[in-house]
Amino acid sequence: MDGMVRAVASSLTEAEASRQPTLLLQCIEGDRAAWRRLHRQYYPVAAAFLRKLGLDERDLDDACQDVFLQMFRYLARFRGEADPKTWLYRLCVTQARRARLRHSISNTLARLLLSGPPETLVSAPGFCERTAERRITLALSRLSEKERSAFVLYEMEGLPGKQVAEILRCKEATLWRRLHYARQIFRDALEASETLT
Amino acid sequence: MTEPSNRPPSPLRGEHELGALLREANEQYAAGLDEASAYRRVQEQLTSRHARGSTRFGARRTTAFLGGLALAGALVWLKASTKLDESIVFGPEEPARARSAPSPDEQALTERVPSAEEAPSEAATVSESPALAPPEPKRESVPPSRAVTPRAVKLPEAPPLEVPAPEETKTTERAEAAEAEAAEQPKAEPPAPELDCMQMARDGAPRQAESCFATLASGAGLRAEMALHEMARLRRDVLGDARGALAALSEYRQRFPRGSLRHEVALSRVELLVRLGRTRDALRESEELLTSPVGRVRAAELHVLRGNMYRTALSDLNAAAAEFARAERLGGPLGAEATYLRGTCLEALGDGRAALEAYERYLSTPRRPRAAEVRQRIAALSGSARAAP
Repeated sequence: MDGMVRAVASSLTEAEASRQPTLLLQCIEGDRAAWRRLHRQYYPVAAAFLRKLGLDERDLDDACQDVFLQMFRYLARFRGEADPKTWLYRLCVTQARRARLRHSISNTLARLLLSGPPETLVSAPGFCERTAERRITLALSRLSEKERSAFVLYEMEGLPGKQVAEILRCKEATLWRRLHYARQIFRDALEASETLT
Repeated sequence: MTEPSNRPPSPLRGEHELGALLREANEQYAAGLDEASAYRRVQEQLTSRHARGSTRFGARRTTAFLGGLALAGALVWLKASTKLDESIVFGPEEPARARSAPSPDEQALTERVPSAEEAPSEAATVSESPALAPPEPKRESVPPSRAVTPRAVKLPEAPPLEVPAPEETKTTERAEAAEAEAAEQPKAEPPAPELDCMQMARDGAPRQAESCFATLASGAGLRAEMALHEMARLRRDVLGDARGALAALSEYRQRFPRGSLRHEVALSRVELLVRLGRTRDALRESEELLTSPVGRVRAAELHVLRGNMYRTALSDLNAAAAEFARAERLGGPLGAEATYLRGTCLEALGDGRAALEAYERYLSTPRRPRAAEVRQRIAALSGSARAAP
């Protein structure tokens, strides 16, 4: 479909992988067009991933900006030695954690200042039909931060276990354990949401 | 290391329903992204940081340093004000010792300005990548002789200070003074009971909840913002008062044009305007909304909504088809619906060929609840095409 936004790619194709070192080197050398291509390639990956990690839409823009500012700033350290996508995911996990911390602080302040715990204030416009996304988001919200990151990276981004463990800086055995619990909780939450609808 | 074989099967990697749901959700998560605008904002950030000559990290260190300096100064002043047992004079030869609260002139003269050497290196944290790294700004180093330090200032001798009364006496005096002051003032009213407006609504008293929100909304700050927004939701969803809900949102927009909830309010306004039949206003506000971050995320839905307004309320099928085309390009869960609606507009406009193409595209989408209807339309259009001379 012409101009259709593509879904997030779960892995680089062989053609893309072969072009990566060249693109990165061009970026390091200061080629602005290369920076543009880099952003165009990775922005949909980063933004969709941050949404899956539970970032509010209000925080999404700022978090994506910070991810790419970090990337542009420190890309020279890469020099093709590591997979840039692994690094990108790791930056996103860090930004998501920071956004959660900021929300936690502001919610605490709101509870102290207001009459009670803040309710869900964002209204759901009636014309929104992203049903699958809503159901999955609701189920994912039952997971802890670590379980959610593991689940999203492995189940939804489709990354291999070794790469996920590298991104999350944990052992593979730890990853499988987190996935085990995450899947159980996720299934239960999904079934519960089906019962209510 | 591949996944151990005794683990539960991965839902996404299977073909059952959950895998399909996750794949569909993946598409929805990726929809509505405006990459070009995001890149412009990143460029603006990099440009503005270069112009300022500082980075967020450098600013944080500066803030932390100045904050620490202020705290240290406050602690020194506090200690000096409570321990008044010696007089101290600053001089060029003697080291600075604890002293009483300085006079304003003395304080101004002894106020230290962090010299250039002490300020955190700002340029050092600028992008290490040569691609977008600005040239290191040349900073003028302040000669040490120009820095203002206590040692450089010669102050007149301070008069000897009297030995203060013991702290206990001072505490008693302060307490007595406070009591006297309190006795002169009228008794403060006890604080109002906490208002839990949401609980009133849950308890089935929506009118009471509405009054409760109105009370909170008369205040200021985030509390009032939230109360106005909740009041609008209550009126819209529970009381069935769309006009009242819109009035609350209009008040929000007037009082809090840069409020934290302005984007959510804008979305709710568009929906309410459509519900109230104020099509022109809804079109105008949805067009503005499309330029905002929240609007860009929901761009596909907004374009479908706009297309329906053009089609049903204004009978402008050309504009409707254009809106559906935009929604179709954005894809996502409404992509197929937009394709179908575009086909109906083109068919009504008499462009049978384009309508057929749209209907064919619709049938090629994975989810097509209107497949039967679309096939009938295709058959009808094809038959008309054959029958035409």
